Amino acid sequence: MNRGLLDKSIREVWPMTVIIGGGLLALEILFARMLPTFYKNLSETVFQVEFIRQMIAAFLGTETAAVIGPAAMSAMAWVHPIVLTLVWVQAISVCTRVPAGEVDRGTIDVLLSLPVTRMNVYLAESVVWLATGLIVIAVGLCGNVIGGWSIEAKMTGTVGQRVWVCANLYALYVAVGGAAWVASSVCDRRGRAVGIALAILIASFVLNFLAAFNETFKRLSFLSVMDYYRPLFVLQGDVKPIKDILVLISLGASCWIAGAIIFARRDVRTV
Amino acid sequence: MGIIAIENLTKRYGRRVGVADLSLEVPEGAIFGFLGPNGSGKTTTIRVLLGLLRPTAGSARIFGMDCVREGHRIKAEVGYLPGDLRLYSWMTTELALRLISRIRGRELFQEGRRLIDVFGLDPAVRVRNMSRGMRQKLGLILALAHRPQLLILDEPTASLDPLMQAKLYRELRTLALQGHSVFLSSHSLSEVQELCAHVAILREGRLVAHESIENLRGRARRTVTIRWSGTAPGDGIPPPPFLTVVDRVPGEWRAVLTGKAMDLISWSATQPIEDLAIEEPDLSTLFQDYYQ
Repeated sequence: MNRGLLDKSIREVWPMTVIIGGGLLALEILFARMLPTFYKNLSETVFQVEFIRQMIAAFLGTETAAVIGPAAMSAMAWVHPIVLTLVWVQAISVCTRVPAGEVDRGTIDVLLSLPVTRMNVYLAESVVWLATGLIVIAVGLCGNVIGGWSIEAKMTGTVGQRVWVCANLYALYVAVGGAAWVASSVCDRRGRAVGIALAILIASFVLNFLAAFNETFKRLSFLSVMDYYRPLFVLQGDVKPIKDILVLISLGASCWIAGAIIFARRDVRTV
Repeated sequence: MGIIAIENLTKRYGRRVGVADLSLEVPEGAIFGFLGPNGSGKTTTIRVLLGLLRPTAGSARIFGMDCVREGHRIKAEVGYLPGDLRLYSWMTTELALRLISRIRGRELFQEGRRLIDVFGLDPAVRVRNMSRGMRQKLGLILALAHRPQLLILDEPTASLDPLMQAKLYRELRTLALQGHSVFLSSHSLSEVQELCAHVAILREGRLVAHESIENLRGRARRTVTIRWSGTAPGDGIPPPPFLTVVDRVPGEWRAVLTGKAMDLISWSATQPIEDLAIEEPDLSTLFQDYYQ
């Protein structure tokens, strides 16, 4: 591992990582603190409304019957669109830096004129991708633990359950990042790579959401990465999502390898 | 084998040909000029040498190593300045030297500081606050700091003032004298004439000339100005066969010398000539003939 390349990547990525980590910390403190209170205030009326239960079920990727209960509200802290957006932004922005980002800003010439292989560059960025994702999600977990400190475990889930949720979230981060790596390897413009990754992600999210309302979409839901991220099952049933984690990590790893092969073989032309 | 050996190199971009069947050897320890009009394939060739582009056919080797398979080893001893230099906006010169030192695994500060003094760059200014000329200087410092065996420079004097150009030329000549090689791509014909011992000229992806500057000088046209003495303004005097008169005004001829200078001097000794001026060989016209 070339330390200089690592150093360069860290310098470029740490400001955004701090902002996203800080945002996730604040959100998780807020959610862990507030959601159980929302549940107490709303459960007697709002959750009786079928449409609202369906919407919550769609967000959680589960059946409506499972929505009733404090675990459902706690799970919302981990599937809230803002939380997912922050995690996905971290993944996509780190994973589209090389090669698309470097080609787009024209710095790839200087970078690849150094005595490093393309794989050296790819690996250094990959280490930063994996490490910053771990940091961001760990910070989110800390926020959730801090926010739910004085709240009973049946409302927030045990720390062990939340660790499994975060492991599942990290696997989702890896899957999203893998898709972004492939997009970055085939594109010369970072914007285009981000667009492709976002399009895949949004399609996944929408497919998973609509699966709660429609049988056809439900049959196709296995195509969505969100189908392998179901915090409610972990918090409600103390299920360990090992299979889901393995599927997501395999997907991410396959895409990452594909991206590496493409980058190693392609022409690099600055635009 | 020269320090750079290109053999039957072809690079296609779909239907468009970037470089076609190029074979070229660059001798070691010299400053080699690489010329051609826009779109002639110079940058394509350089990018193949650096492993940024994969050849469609043929091969390119530096130090006897294949540019595609062993690029990272080659680049340990290559310094490169791109024609369109872009740097990381957050870098300062000092930070850049530190990072590049770590990436190259070599100490670059001593030579880097010397070059900072030579080019007069403030080491604390960030790239985002630099002018184009300052960025060009930083690019040159990063290319030169590890004293590479081979320098590949694409338009190195772009955005540099004449004083900095002179300093760069001095650095390049010193490197060449010490046995380092320079592969210089430039649009400045005067620069090539001043610095290079050999040139190669590309046109439409093909090599149209590859010879020493000395040979080119021998073939280049020389302009001659003859001022006739007042009583015999040159009318009625037939020009000799080695002189082609291109312009006549009363009392003066402007001509092109197509033969030897000694023949002209011998002939002019017998003529009522007041003044004779023979200009340096005009390589720019010769180059432009190749470009067309």
